[in-house]
Amino acid sequence: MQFLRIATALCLVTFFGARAQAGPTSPLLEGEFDFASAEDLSHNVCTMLVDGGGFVADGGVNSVDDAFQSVSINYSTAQPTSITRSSDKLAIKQSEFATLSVTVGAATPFTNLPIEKCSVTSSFSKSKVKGSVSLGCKGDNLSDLLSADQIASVQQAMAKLKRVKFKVSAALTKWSLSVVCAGELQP
Amino acid sequence: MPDTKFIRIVGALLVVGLVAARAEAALVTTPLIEGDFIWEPGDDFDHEACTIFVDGASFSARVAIDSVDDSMQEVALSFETQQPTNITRGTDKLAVRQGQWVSMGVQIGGADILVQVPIEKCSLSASFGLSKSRGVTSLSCKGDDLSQLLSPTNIASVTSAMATRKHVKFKVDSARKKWSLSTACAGVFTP
Repeated sequence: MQFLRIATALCLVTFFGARAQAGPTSPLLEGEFDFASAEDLSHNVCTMLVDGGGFVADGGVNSVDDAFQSVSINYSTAQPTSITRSSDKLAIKQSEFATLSVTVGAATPFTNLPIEKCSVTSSFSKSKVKGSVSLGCKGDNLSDLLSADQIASVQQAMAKLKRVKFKVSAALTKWSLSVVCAGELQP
Repeated sequence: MPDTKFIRIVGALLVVGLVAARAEAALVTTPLIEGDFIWEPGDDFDHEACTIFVDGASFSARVAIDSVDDSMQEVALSFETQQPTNITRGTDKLAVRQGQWVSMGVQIGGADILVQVPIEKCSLSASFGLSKSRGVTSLSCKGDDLSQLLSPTNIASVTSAMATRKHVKFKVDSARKKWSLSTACAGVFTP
């Protein structure tokens, strides 16, 4: 099913690519721009990508729980809701339904799952050589997505990162997650 | 020696494929608008078509105009937002705009005269409402030296062909240098 979705998306976007066959020659911003949070370095990284009419902002945080098991959360604007671009600046936002992926040890409880109350906001300035990508999500039933042990692992791992806030109610239902990834453009 | 245009096409497809791969999962599972929507102005049906397209993280808008010149030769113009500068998308509405550098294509008698050349002073705005099933597009372009893009014969063909289109205003000065073209296209979605 996922393969079919990927194949369909590639076919459609290839059609779009074929439409845009002349290639960009204007001064409007194009490229992939990578950043890392100064406080969390390689544990909190993010990217903005603009290629013709394609726009993505995404990022990931990774850490270990108290048993030194690796935990990672990745996020993306699979369906951006607002974009501005010029020769110097790029902003990509998805105000709802940003996607999340979570890995705990060898398990991947979910991949690229759209979350209704989940937004990604990002901006980049070429002249300032700086950018930022921020994530803000919340939900009402985390126990539908993760087991109690996985929730504990994610809490322990995310508590080790300065620019990540992950909160869960005592009943393991209501939750919120925020990530700030801001820094200078990485080479 | 491989053709550079071919390399550019393959390069563009690979990078846009990366965008698609990153954006692969959520395409059909949220209520945010997705699809390819086309409309034609009711009073110039079959000669002007406007399109707005969104597929996950990829966006474009397009205007295509066709007509015939005085010698009944087919003349087709097309304009595309290959690098959109402003986009808004909701569950019902989609708007794609490129404030400058919209690309222009010209075909005369079936031959490609211009293949999507970016024009600096060329803007295209398109918006579509799913609930009203209606779209609106406006295009405005101008330049200082049309003779660098088209031959005198081609300029004459485009001038005579566009003169018969209700919504298209195409003007060229007597020296065939300064030019402008504008059009508006509003209509109901044609499935």
